[in-house]
Amino acid sequence: MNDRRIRLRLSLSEAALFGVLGGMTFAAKMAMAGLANIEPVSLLVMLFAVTFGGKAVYPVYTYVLLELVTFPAQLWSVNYLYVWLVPAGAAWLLREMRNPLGWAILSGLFGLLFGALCAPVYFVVGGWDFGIAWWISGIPFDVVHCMGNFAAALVLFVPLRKVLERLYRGIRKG
Amino acid sequence: MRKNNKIIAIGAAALAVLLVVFGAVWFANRPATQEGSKTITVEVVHGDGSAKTFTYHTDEEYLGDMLLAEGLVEGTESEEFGLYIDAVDGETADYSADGAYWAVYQGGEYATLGVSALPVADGNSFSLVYTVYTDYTICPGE
Repeated sequence: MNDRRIRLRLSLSEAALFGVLGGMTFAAKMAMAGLANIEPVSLLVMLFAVTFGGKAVYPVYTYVLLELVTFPAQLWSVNYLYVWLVPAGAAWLLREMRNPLGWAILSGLFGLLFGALCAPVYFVVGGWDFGIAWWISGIPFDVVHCMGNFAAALVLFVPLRKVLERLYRGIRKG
Repeated sequence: MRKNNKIIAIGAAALAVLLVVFGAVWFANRPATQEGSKTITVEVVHGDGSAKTFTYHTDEEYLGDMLLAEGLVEGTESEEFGLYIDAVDGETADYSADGAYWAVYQGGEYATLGVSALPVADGNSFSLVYTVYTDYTICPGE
């Protein structure tokens, strides 16, 4: 427990970095809002997880908090409380992987499963039939989400990981 | 390195299988549309509780297209969600002001699809109900 607290303890510069990264994630998501189901958040969440380990929860939940205070509460607000932990956890488990194709596949899988991962909330609120109907009607959007995530991670994951790791090393030394 | 290649191969196979399975599930359950002339009734329940019923004869295949073509609704369209109804029969619901929106019911049941994806069939009845979102609970009845 104490070890975990120490691992999650933040220095001032880390707190500033994570705040900026959470804000940048929200800004990037809003900037791409016009592209339906193509988003930068999955990519950034995976990058935070492989670079910051457990501390990735800080930029991730800074982003989630910005979503929650900006938009009125909806069912997706509940989804956002847990769904980003899935790519973060998967990325952390695969953090030794260097092949961009592997990251593209992981990100694509998350995009494809996004509706299924959100559906439990709809099962609880509206019943089994409502949840299933909601998930099925969203499958075309999940496929687009999958393709967008795959392409973004294939091109950007490895170079952005290098940048973020260099930045984080510099901050920890300073 | 070999372990990574194995993980990538398994991931690629899983992605391909899921794409096929999800595509098949969607195709088998996609909303069926009906071509040709159909008679549809639409009940509008206004914010003051007053109700009007409209009967339309239409060739449109989706409710959203029919409502726009008949001039009953005004709204904004997005690629992601299709038509979002702003106003019905001259009454505007402003969610950002007071949580008001137009809820869509089909045959008395809350519609599980947006109006742009909701097919219309001959004899269907729909309701557009001015609704004010006040609160929600995760579990109905809580």
